[in-house]
Amino acid sequence: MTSNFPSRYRAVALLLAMVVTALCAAYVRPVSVATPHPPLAQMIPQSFADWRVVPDLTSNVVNPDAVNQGDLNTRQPYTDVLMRVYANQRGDHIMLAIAYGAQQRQEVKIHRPELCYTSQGFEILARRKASVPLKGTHSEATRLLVLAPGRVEAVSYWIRIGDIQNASAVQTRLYLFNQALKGRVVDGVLVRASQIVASVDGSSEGSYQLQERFLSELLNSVDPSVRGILFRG
Amino acid sequence: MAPLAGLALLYVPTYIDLYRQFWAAGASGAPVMLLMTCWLFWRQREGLHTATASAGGRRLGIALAACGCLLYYLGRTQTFYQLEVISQVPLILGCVTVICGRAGFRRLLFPACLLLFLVPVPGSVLDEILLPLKEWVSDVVDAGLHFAGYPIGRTGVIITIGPYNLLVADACSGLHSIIALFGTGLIYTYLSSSSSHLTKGLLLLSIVPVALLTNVLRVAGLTLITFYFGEEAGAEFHDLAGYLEVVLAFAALYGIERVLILLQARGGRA
Repeated sequence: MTSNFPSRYRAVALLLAMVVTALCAAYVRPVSVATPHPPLAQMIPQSFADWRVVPDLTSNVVNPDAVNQGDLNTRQPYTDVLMRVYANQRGDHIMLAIAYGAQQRQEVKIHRPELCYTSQGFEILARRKASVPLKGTHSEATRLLVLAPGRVEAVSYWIRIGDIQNASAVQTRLYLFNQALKGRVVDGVLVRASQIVASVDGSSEGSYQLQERFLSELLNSVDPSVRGILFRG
Repeated sequence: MAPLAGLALLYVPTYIDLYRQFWAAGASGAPVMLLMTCWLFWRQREGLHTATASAGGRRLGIALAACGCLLYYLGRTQTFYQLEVISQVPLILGCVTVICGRAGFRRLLFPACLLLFLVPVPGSVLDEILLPLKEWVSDVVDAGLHFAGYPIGRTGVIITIGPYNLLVADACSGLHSIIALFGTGLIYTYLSSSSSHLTKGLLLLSIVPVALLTNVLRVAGLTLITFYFGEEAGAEFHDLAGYLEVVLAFAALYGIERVLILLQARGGRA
């Protein structure tokens, strides 16, 4: 091989460029901008409005943290997970799940409940967006109807990532990309309420409205700082 | 070979992450694709030694290498694996163009583009595109084994055979390996020495049916192994299945090519 000087010079220049790239990739990175806060268990009240926690039913709540693909555990993006069951005077039970992740990245971010539920054997029967009256304004949430043997569950949820809420997969990736270009790694949260309904049709509309009222009352009963973590328009 | 050291510095961490995140489950044919692509690069060694650089090639090479480094930086700092993997294409082509000129670029163009097959497609996007195929594979396995007298049933995402339940998830139906099979077929047509364009075209078209059929065999095999030997054995088979499927596809394409060449020769004589 003709090892003339210009060729070797070029090869070393390429190597240097790659070393510089590797160093930048290791040390010039976006920084996490999540504000520290107490654990969810402390921030979310045990009782508010008409609702009280029912302590022993937590195992009924579908775990938002358990998404397995075959034998592989994908990197879990959650730093804090809360699962509780609340009941009101009438005996309605609502399951609340909140999953918070301090650092949201392109491939390590909050999972949609669709993924959690299907990976645990549920089938998604219906999925649509709904405009929900929350905190004086109307906001978008997603409604699911999921089915497992012997169990039909109506689910309402939203996902906040940084300053945006309930965005599509593409919008989320673009938003994360732009934030990273500005040097920021944002946090994210999934807020999910669900209720077991009697059948596949009919009773779900009432359930969704109850869940959304539940979430609205929850937001009203917490500090503005906590509200800002859970919800942003 | 200084640039190779640079590439190793950048991409060994990438591949470690890819392995941990996507390949360790054994559902992907990507490692096999990687090996075959490396082999294709290796084949070009002698050719690259004799190539010489031209000035025009250098500017293109620098632009490509810069683009590759930028993509790598964005991908690595944002945990955006897709960008990291994609960045290999312009970076490798850029390096070879800078050192070996346009001739080097042409030689490595196909193997470098094959690296795109290693891009991990987000699960949700993949499911959207391949869901109809996944349904079809499940239906065929269900119908076929039912016809053969096995106690098999399917309810939504769960296959029931005898006392066992199999979740028809990505691992079982090998969605990711279908992409690797396309890659295998492409490599095969690239390497094959048959002269006729028609033959190569038909061979490329036959990749789709071959991929689907080897997938059916994979799911059927997994189902039967679980039925006869239990769920432990079925889980073991997962890892093996990806590699077996690619080997089978290669063999099938070889067979099809033989037949096509035979027909081509007969056609020529007539």
